[in-house]
Amino acid sequence: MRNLVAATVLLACLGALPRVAEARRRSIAVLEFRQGVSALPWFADRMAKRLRHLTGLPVLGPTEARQKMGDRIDNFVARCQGQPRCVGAIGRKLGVTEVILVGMSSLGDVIIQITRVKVSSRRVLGSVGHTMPPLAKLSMGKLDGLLRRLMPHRDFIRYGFIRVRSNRRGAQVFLNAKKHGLTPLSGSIKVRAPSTHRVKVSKRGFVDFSADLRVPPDGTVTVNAVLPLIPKGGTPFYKKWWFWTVIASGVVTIAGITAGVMLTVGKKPDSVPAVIRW
Amino acid sequence: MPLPWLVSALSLLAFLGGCKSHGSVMITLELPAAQELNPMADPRLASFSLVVSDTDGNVQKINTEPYAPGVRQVDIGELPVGDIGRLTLVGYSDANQVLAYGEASGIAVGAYDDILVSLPFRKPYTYMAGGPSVSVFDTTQAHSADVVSPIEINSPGQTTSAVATTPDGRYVLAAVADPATPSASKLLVFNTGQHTEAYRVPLNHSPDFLSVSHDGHWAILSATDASRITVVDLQDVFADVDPALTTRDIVFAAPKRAAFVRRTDGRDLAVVLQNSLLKGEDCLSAALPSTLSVIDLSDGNLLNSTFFETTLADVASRPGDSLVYAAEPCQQRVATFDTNSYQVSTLVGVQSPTSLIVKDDLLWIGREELFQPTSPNTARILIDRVNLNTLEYTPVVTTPFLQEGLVVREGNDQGASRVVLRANPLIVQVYHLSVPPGGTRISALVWAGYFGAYNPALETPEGDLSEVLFISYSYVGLDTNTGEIRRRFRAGCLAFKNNDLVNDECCEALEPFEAPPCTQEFVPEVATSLFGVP
Repeated sequence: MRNLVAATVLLACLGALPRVAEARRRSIAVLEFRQGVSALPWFADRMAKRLRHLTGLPVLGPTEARQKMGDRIDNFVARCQGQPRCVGAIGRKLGVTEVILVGMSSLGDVIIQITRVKVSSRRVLGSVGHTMPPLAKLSMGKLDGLLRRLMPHRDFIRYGFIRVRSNRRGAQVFLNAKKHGLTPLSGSIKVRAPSTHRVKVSKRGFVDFSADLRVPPDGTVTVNAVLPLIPKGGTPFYKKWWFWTVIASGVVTIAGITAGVMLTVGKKPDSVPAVIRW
Repeated sequence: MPLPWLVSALSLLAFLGGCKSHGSVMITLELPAAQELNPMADPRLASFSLVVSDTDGNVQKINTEPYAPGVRQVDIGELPVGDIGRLTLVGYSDANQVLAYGEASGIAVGAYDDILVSLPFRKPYTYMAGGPSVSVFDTTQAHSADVVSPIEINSPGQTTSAVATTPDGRYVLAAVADPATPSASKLLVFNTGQHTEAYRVPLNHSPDFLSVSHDGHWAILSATDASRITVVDLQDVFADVDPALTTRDIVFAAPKRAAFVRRTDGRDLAVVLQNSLLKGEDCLSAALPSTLSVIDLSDGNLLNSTFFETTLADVASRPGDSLVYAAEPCQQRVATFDTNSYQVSTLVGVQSPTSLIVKDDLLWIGREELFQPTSPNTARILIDRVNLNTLEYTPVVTTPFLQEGLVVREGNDQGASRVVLRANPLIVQVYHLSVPPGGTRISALVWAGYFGAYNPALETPEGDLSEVLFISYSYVGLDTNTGEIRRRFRAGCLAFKNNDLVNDECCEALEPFEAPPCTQEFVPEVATSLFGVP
C-alpha cells in the first residue's frame, strides 16, 4: 500500500508561480553607503540575497545594480548622503518600487543604519539601526531579525499550491482532515509555505489514498491519487470487532457526560467568593 | 482493561467532575519590598474596596471590608462569573482618602474554577521628569511630607526628559536624554516596588518625549533634534528580548508627543504630533504649523499625514478609541482627528488650550491665561473638563496663581543691597496634566511669567527703571472639587533682562519641600501618576 501511495504521488514543483498581484508590482533594490568602514564585506549583497529568499520578492543587490547602471552608482549613492529624495531617484532609475539603503559608519563600533525608501513618494517607510564591534560578525539570525523589523510582516508570508488529481470522479478530498471538495477539483489549493500537509482522497468501495506533502514557497505540488477497488472478499469495516466496541464506548461516554451536565446545570453559580491575601 | 470499561470509567470521572463545588478568586497582593513604598505600612489605612468593570466598561462595586493591622487575609465578597474587564482594589483612610491602589485586567471568572490573580498594590505616587533624577510625590501625604526619595538615574550629565508608567502599575519608565552624546541616551525601566532599575533600552538619539500605549504594549520616544522616533515593544523588553530587536527607529521631522488609538478595523496605531508649542510659547509666534502622522504599530508604516494650519499644543486619546483629541490654541478649540477617515472636526471651542489628558470618559484641558504687563490682573490656573460621552463642559479650576519673588541687586557696587521683587503672574500656562486615581485631585505642570521693574543704581534718576521678566516652573496639585491649590513645588525659576537669561539671580528661597536650592533647580518636563494615564 505504502509503495502504491509513494508511487502515485507526483511531486511536481513547477517553479515560481505568479505570486499575488501586489508582490508582482513591488521590487526592491538594496544599496550600500560606507563611510570609511571595511567591516562586513558584501553585507548589502548578502542582505539582498536573504531578502529574496525570505520574501520571494524581486530584489536587486549592489552587484546587480552596478550591472544595470555601471560603477557610477556608488558615487550617486555616496552623494545622496542618505536623503530619501535622492535615494528614491536612484530607485527610479533602477526601475524598482523601493530602495533599502544600508549606511555603514564607524565610531569605534560599526554603526549600521538601514533605511527603506518608497521610490514613488520618496518617503522613508522605515528604518532600523544596529551597532556592533568592528571585528564582530553578523549572524544570519540577526540579519533576518533586522529585515523582519524593516519590512512589513506580510512580506514574509509566502504561499504554495497543492493540485489534486484522481482516477475516480466524486472522491472526497481531505486536506489535514478537512473536506476540500470532490474530484475533479477545479484549480489548486493555496496554502502557507513552506509547510507540510496530509492529503487524503476517499471514495466508498475504493482503497483510500493518503500522502504527506511538503509544499515549498511559490511551488505547486501535484498529487495523482490512484484509488484501486477494494478486493472482493475483504472484511467490511462494520464486521470488525473494534467497530462495535468503539460505538458502545461512545454511547457510555455520552451518557455519563450528559448525566453529569444534567445534574449540575441547574445550580451553576452566578458568583464566586473572592479573598485578598498578602 | 478492555476498552469499553476504560471508557466507562472515564465517563464516571467526567460525571464526578460535574459535581465539583463552586470556584473562587484568590487575589494575591504584590507589595513593595521597600517599607517606605509599602501601602500596607501606612497607619492611616482603614479599609479595602473592590470594584470590577465588565468588558463594556460597566462598573460594579463589590464590597468594602475593614483593614486590621496584622491580618493577612480578607474575604472581600463575591465576584460575578464571566469576563472581567478590570478589577480594582482601593485602600482608603477613615476620611475616604485613596491611600493605595491596584488594578488587574483580562480576568475570566469561572463558576467552578479557582482563579489566582496577582495584583500590584501601590501608593498612588506621582512621578516627575526633569533634572538628574525622577522626582516622586506621595499625593496622599500633607504637602510638607509628600516628597519621597527620588529615583536616581546615576548618569552624570544626563537628564530625565520624560516619564511614564505602565497601566498595571509595575513599572515607571524614564527617558534619559544626553544631548551631548545622543547614543548614550536610554530608556530606563524602574520597578515601582523598589524604585530600582529593572530594564534598560539603549537609544540612538536623545529623547525629548515619551508616550506609552494604553495597554502598555508600546512606547514611543521622540527625538526632536534627530528627527527620529523610536518605537519600543515593551512586551519584548519585559520578556528580556535583546534590546536591539525591541526597537524600531523611524524618520520623522520634529516629532513630539504621540497618542495611541485602535481603529475600527482593529489596527493599533500611533498618531505622532510633529511641531508643537514649546513651554510658555504663544501660538502666534510659533514657527511652524503642526502635522499629525499616523503609523501602524505592527510594521511602522506611515499611513497618513494630516496638516494643520496652526501649531498644536498637545494630543490625547481614550483607550480602545479611534479618535485623537488635539489642543489647537490658535484656533481656540480642541479638535478631533478621526483615524478611520483622517478627518478633523471641532470637539469643543475653548480659549487657549495648551495640554490634554483623557482619564476614563473625561477629557481634561489645561489652558493658558495671559495679561499685558500693565494689567493689574493676576493670571489664573485654568483647567476644564469635557465628558466625552455627553460633551458636557465644566470649568474645574479657575484659581489665581501664586505671587513670586525674585531676589535682585539694587544700587551700585558700594551701596548695593539685595531686594525681593515680588509680582503677581501675568501669564500662566498649564503645559502638562496628570490625573491620579480617586478623581479628587489633578496634578499640573505650570509655567508662570512675571514682570517687574527696579532701580538698578542708587544714583540713577528716579523713573529710570530696569525691567525684568522672570518665569517659574511648578508642579501643582489641585483639588478637583474646590479648585484649590493643595500643593505647589517650584522646581525652577529663571530671570531675563532684555531677553537675555540672567544667571546670577534667583527666586526667593522657600522651604525645602517647596523648592530645591537655587543651584539645583530644574525644568519639570512631565508628571505622571501611577494608575493614572500611562
